[in-house]
Amino acid sequence: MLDKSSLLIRQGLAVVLGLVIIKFSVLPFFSWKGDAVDEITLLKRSIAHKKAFASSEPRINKDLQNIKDSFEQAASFYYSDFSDIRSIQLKLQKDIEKISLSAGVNVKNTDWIHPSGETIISVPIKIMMETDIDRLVKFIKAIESHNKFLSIDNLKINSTQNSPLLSVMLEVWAYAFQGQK
Amino acid sequence: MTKKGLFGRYFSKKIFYVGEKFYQIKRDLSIEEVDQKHIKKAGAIVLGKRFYFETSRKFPFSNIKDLKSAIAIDPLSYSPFKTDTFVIKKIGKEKGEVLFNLWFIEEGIYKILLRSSPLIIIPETALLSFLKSGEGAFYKINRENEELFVYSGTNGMVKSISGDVGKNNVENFKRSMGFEARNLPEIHIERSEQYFALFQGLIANVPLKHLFYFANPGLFSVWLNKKYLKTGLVSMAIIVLLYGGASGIYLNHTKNKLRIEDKRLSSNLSGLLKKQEKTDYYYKIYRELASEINVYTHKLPLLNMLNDVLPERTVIRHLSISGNVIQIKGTAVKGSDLLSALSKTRGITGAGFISPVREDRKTGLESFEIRFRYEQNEKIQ
Repeated sequence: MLDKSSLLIRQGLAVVLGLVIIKFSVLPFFSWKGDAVDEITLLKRSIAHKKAFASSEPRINKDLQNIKDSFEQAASFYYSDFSDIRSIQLKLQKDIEKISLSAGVNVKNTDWIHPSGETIISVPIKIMMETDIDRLVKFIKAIESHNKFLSIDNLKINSTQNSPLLSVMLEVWAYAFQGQK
Repeated sequence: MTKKGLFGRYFSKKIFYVGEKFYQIKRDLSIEEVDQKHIKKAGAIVLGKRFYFETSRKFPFSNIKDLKSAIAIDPLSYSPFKTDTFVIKKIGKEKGEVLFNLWFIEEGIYKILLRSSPLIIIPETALLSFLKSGEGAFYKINRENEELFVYSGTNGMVKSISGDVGKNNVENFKRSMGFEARNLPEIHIERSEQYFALFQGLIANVPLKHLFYFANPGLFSVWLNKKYLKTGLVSMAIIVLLYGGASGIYLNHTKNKLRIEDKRLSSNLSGLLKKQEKTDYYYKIYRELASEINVYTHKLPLLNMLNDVLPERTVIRHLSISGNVIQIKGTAVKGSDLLSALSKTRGITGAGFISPVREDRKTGLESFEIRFRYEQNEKIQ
């Protein structure tokens, strides 16, 4: 009877030991193995990708040169190298004064509107003027063909039956690029 | 080698005789007396008559399992000593009953024999029944200090008697076996060596179904073969550990190797990656810069377009442009003609009156107010 009990205890202990070994050795080992296999698969993919990437160096150099040229061309239309945003507004006002003078437009009033934007900063100036249609067209042409990109928005033109002069209100927007070149 | 003797030949590789003394019967048929400790990994053990009790009994059933259960209930009614170890061989049917040979093995010797894990344990008299199988014979075997008389019937049943030399009379023994046994041949084996030399051939030729009768019942007993169990478990554990360890080491080695390779490639590619990052950056900024210019609706072409499209005697008193939405107010000969002309113009969409058209009776002109959208096609690529 004693032998039988001892046998049962031994068998029970063996089962418990087996379960403990499975729980704390076999299962964690297989889990680790699964993770290791996954990591190896990812590393293999990463290496294959990097090897393929390394072989595309001439193409990347060419792409970089092309996009840099395009970028510089586009960036040339924007104001840059400025210390303060207000300085661009001042520069814009001076440019507008020059253009209006050359176009013979009589600017009655200008108003600085608050700039906006982060990488590309929009700097608007509101202008009110009285002029005839030919001078206005000349003015608009000069603005839109400026060496920097200047845009005209919120253009309002009113004419009266008795006067040849047009009452014009418009916003001229200059743009500045603030970023790494 | 016949199929019949295939297993028998395997078991006959290492045979021991366990009697008054222990002997090993080697393959070259030489016989060597051995110590009890030297009986190891025995293929077959031929058990001497002194260690078992032999009898034959009839039972109303033929199932060996049922028979074992019946004997286990009251072993002492079959054997003169108490034992749980016995060998049963089915002989045949007689008058609706089944005849069995029974050999009850002493517990003491059985425990000793188990240590050598024999595959089969066969009583010596049971083995002799296969010498003239189907024919039957009387055997008189002279050994050093005793005589063994064995009757092997034509049906395979065995009866035997042993005793000191000259104690038993063979004629009396033959008579006690009955009338049918009177004509059976008598075989004399005079020396132990001659007797032991028979074992090899006998075991080799025992049919497989008969060998099962004598298979060691304790061979697969877990607790009696603790040593082998331990060896097996330890071997298994070692194999599992080796497999786990080897696969773990291999995976870890591969992983580390790939990591190093990946790191090396990354460091080599750092310059290229920076170039790629720079390309992506320039591309992103370029898109933003170009987009700002592309969405702008140039006003000069718009004014030129209006100048071209407006019908004769059309006057615009008010023009408003916000983004790409244009609103015009003025007078024309026919407002609908103006709207039609605008709608047909390339780049203009959604043109429509935003207030009713009214006719001035004095001038005959119509007052209109029209709104439309204008999209330019020239874009920076």
